[in-house]
Amino acid sequence: MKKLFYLSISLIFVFGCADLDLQPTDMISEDAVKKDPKLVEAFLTKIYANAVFEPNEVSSMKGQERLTDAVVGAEYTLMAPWQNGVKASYSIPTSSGAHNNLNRWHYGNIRSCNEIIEILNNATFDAATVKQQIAEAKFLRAWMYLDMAKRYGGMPLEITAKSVDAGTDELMIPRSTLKATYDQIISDLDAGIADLPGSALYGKASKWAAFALKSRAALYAARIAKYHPQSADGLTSIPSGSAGGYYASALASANAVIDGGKHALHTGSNKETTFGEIFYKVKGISEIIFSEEYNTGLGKTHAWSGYALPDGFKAGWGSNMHMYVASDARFEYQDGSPGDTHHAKFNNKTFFDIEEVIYKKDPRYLATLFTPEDIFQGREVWFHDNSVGSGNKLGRAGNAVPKRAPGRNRNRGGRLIQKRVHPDVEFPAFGTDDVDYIVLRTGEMYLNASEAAFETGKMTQAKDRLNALRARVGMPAKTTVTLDLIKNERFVELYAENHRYWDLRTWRDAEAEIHLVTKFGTKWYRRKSDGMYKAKKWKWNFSQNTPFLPKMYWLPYGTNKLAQNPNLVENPGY
Amino acid sequence: MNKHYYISFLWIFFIGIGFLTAQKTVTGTITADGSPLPGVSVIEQGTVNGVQSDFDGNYTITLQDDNSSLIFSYLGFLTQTLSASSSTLDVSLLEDVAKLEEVVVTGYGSTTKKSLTGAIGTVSAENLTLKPAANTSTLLMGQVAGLSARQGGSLPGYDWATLSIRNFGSALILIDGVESNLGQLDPNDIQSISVLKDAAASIYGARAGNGVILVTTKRGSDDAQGAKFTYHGTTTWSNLITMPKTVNAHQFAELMEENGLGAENEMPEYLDYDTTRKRVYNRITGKDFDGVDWYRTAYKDWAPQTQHNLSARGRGEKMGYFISIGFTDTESAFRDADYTHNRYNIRTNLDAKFTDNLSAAIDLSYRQTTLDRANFGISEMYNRLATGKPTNLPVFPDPSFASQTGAATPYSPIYMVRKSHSGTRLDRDNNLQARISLKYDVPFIKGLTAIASLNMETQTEWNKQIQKKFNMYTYDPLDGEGDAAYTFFGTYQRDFISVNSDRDMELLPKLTLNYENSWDQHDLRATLVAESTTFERDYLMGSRTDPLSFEAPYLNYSSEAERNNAEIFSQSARSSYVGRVNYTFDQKYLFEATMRADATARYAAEGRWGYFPSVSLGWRISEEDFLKDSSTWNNLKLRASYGVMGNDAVSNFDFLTGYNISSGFYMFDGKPYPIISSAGLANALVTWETMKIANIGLDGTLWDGGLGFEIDAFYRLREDILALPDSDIPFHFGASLPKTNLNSRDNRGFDLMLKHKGKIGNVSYSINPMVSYSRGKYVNWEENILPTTGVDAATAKANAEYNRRYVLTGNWDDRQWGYQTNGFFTSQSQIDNHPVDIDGAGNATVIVGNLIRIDQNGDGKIDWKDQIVIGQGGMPKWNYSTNMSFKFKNWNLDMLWQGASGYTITFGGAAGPWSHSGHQTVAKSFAYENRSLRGANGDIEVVKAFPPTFTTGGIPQVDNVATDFNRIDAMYLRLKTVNLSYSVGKAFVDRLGLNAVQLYVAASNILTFDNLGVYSGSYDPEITTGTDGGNIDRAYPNNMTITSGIKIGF
Repeated sequence: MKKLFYLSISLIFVFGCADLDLQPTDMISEDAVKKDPKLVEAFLTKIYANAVFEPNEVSSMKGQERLTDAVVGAEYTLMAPWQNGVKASYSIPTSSGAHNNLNRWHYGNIRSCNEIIEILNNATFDAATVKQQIAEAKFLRAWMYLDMAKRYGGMPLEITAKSVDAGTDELMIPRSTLKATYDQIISDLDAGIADLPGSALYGKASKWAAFALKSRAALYAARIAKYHPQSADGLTSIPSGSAGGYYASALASANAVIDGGKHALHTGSNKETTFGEIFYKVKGISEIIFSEEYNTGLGKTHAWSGYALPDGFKAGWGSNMHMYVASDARFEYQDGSPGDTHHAKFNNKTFFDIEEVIYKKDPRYLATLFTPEDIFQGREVWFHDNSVGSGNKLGRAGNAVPKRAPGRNRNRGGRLIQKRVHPDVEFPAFGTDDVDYIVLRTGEMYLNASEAAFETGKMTQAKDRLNALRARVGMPAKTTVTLDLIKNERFVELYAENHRYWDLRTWRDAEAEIHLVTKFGTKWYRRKSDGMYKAKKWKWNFSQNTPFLPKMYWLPYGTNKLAQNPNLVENPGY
Repeated sequence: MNKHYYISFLWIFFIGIGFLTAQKTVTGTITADGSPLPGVSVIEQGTVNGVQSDFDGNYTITLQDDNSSLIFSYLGFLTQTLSASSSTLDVSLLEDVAKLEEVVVTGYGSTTKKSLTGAIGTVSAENLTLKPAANTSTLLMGQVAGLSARQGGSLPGYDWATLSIRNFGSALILIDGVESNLGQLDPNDIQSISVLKDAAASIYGARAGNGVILVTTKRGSDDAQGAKFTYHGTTTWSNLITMPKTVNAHQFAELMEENGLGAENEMPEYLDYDTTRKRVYNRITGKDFDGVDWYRTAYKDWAPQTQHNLSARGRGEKMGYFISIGFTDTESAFRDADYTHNRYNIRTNLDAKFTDNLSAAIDLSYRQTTLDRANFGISEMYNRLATGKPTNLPVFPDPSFASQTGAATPYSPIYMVRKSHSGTRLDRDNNLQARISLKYDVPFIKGLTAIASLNMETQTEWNKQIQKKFNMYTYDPLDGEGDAAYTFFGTYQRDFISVNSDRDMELLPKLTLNYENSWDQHDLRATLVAESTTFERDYLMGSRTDPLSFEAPYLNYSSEAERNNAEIFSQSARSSYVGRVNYTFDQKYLFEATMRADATARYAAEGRWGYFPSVSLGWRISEEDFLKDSSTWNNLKLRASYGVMGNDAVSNFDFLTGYNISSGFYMFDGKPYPIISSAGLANALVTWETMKIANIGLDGTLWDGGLGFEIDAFYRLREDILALPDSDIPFHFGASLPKTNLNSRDNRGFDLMLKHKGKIGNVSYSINPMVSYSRGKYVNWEENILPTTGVDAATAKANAEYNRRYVLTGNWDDRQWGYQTNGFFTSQSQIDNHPVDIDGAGNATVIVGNLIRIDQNGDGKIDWKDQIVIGQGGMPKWNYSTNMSFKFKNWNLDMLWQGASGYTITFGGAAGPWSHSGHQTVAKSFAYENRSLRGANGDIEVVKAFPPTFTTGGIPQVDNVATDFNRIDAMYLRLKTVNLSYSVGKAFVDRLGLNAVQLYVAASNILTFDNLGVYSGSYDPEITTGTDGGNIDRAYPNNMTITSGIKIGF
């Protein structure tokens, strides 16, 4: 009986036993990473993946979010008022820190940069690899600080991966001044210029990418120094005295790219095609300095064309990005006459020839936009709201004309964004695009150089750099340059490339250009007998106009972030 | 000494002879309520000697001992023990109105209701099977006070119900002791269900924190009555309770005109809008075009479901068995859809007795569910359905041309649900469970039993998606006749095949020792259990695009270009020891103590073992002398319990540091590069959440069942909730501190159940109302609480304001914050004169129709400081229900009323006040009817419940914030089920050669009262979020059903 008792007791323990020392299947130890350059590379790749090169694109919310920068910057707007970009454009940020999807906090990824630099500083493998990987980490850190500085002003600067046990003083650092923030960015880029290869793997940072980003950062710093009022704490301003130095730096860096020869402007005989193909070919175009790559086969895709394509050429959404009349006015005619030359005819009475009014515009306009009877994939894109009279004059491509264009083409702006849409892909399934995203290209460098030269009194250089861009698309040269001219050229060249909003903010032009400015779209009416058009402007503001108050030059940190660190100061006005 | 021994032996010998020679026979009649009671078990106490009363209630038993007592027992009646002093003993049994003898399944054992010390609610088989439900979980609705079963929709295969005990969160569900899925169990297999609401669940340790639901399946019947076969079949017709009613074409066009989009932009060319008559008409025929309701095109009226179950149940001398096979087939309410859901259940529960001491239970169960349907995403389907314009035809005159909705994303929901267009999707789940348990009654120690069991389970969820690309067209008869009227519009999806398999394997060995003994007034029971679990899961998927032909829809024959595959493997393990002691003194004072030790592989060795004790007490007051002979009190018992439990499904390997390998990649030069990311800082001590629950309860039965009650009050403290202790580091540190067991929350509430039984004439009836309340608070939360002392006055004030709005500690856990509103602006001059800055821009962006948000702090502007609590979450704090049962001769009528309150529904998106102005989603009728109307100058002339349409539509930005405007503190009362059954007379049944025949009709969800106001009838108050977690217009509504059923015993 005792035996039975012991047997039972021992059985109890046998039955209650399972192997509890299990391991997860997806982890690698810290030591392994420190020793293996391949794993460091994989960690560095994570920073690329999370750096958000394409504005507002965060892996979980691809789609209309990426359009926010353009809508808040009043470049174009979207089909529906509930889309996040439109909502962001109406939203006045408050002390709660919420501004829909304009917010961007990169500190997790910045810590990864700092950790990598620390690992590499102690690494024992190949010195050349170490040097290059440190430079890449610094380039990426500069990218992310710039992405935050342009939003929030001076940032708390974290340039080492701190220990949790660090004292309060070390952890609760205040914001650095905006100048110190920009100087940190520029110093990281200088490290990149020194140590990054002149010829990097496509999609990776090169010496030229570091030059180009430095040119952009220095130009932003210079504009803020020159055009923004001084704040006492230096968190939202840069001393005006340093403007000259930053302009010089922006000019030198832009010229380094232009004169380096590695990334020459893309040119060709058909001006419209040449300009357009930059954006849908991307890879292999000399002008591309830095880009993010997509691949349908591997499942890394986006939905740009799904949003952009007009009705009649698409499977799903589409007809989403509509140009304002005010933006149209900025694109000159090929003979150099002003972009709004024919706008007086948009009176709902005068009939005009679209070959004259639309198809004589800057080739960049034609490459950037879908316009009435634009020939795409061999067929016309229809925009007309209605047909007038009788007759059967065929369209520009020789096709019969519907009485009215499909609803979504006609009920908003009257022109749709075409830039980056691949013309060879017909009826793509929504969300299967793999046209790469351009982060840095030489066209911007010419504009940076022109503006920086102008601001530092180098008028000839300012003019030459500007005219080089115009010459590439066959537009007549400007004989003199003004800042307004340079700004307009920048608008035209970089339209719908997510520059406009940040340019307006750094120039301090946003109130004038955006605040409660009434926006207009165009409605087109086609005469059946001869294919002539009449048009009318119509007020189009989704119920409310876009506000831009002075405080909005700097987004708020928000009460929740301030609550974490008593040494942080909120931006003015919140 | 020896002599004495000898004499004693002789005495015993003679007495023994005397017994054998003086055998005594007792006869009598057993009645209840004056009528003879057949089938009553009569057993001589302390022996296995027993008989049953015959059809006339008579019995005859020959006693082994002259002075024996006889035990008379019959299910549903109080057991009586009487001394067999005379040879005739007539007995009148009393009904067990307090169900004191009812067996209640508890953790690792069972007990009778009278000895229960915990708060355990029970549901018996009879309450489950004569009701319609495709998903078994929904049958628990309104059965146990404190158990809420909210139905979130009725789409077959997705017809889940949220089972939550006292709003604690999802409960642990054990079927015959193994964690399992209740929804797909055949209800005919269920013997009983116990709901462990308090410390009674502690015995399940680290998994039991949210309470435990124990389901016991049927076994061989208790009495040797031979084989009993039962067939139970039902046919159910279901119809949607609510369906949003959309505007017709004329109203739609009118709204488009009002919001500035222009009616003609929103319709095909062959239609036009007459602005003066406000009518849409066909330009070819000149006739008015009323439009099409896409919802009514998509849904049909009645969808069928059939259920069949055949079972055999019996017990012989050596063998007991329950064998059951069930089949359920359900269609969806989508018209013309390829959508079926079916389920097979097979179960064999065998009991074998090898020797007097050794017996075995051998259980096998298999379940297969198949969801076979067209390939479409459920929430996308709802989204598209909500956008189908009344001016666009869902089905064209030639239906082979697929329609499009006319909306921005135009994919036709009518064709999505057809396999011929969208492809197919097959989900097949298999579950096989086998268990052998050997029971050994240890012969040397009276009352000791050992049970060794091994349970194995394997589950496979297999899924294959064949996605087809299909073409959509626009239809315009102006373009010509026949095919010429159709223009290619675009395509939906691309050709794609994917196969997923998710295979689980679980092994669960268990050893149990039970000891039971009674002496004098003492009853002692003890249980010791050791068990362990190992669990493995292997997920495997592969996909490719562009199959060569859909004739051969297999991965092998698809494009090599876009091959994709993945494997995810995971495992877990647990070891547990359980002990329990029950002690009863004098049948009055009850004591129970349990202890469980659990260890799980999720945590580091340091914090792996956890100990979960509980103690509970009972006092049967009605057994005390002062109440024992009371004619009022049949039963009165006071219960109290305290226990500790855990919730260990909160962390998985969080104690390890290092780098995680991501399944993602980033591209350089055309190639994918792998990604690893830092797993962050780790905490080796991370462990489970701890729940402490205290419960006090009182059960009573009065006036022979005229009134019964069970009331329980509880308090649960949930501690060691994992949190990131980030309040000491700022966001720019760049990493989160490791998860630490820091936070605590609590719940408090009560459950009350009343019972009343009575008889009016020939109708006997019972009414069983119950109500429960539960609400929780954050007790201690890891967060920034700003100082309000030791700082200057302005900072203190600002900090206090921040704390009021953002601090959770000490506050209810269901507060929804937002702005209080006071209607909307009806004129521009009202905006111009408005003293409060609503938009932060001096009201420059405010327009007529915008909400007037109230400036709570009077600082002249609206910001987060003006937010107040405007709602209390989607989980009802109050749940109430009433079961009613009426019996008249062979007729039985049962009703279940069920309701809830203390929760908030937000009518957002297309379900909200602004839906009439969105051009994407088609407005609902209630939005059209309740919109305010503008006059010529843009000011509002006719004020109704909702703002007017806005120019070009959408929710204006100033209003796109959480407000009380579109929220309702909801409540409802619903006739959940009603059931009328008829038992065919015995004479007729006998003539058919059957045992029993029961016919019934039942209906569910046929009547609802709610307070949803203008939304009532359009939305179901039981559904608070859409299928995709979004707005409630994106949900498959609940069904009302009508069932006819037959149950035949033979």
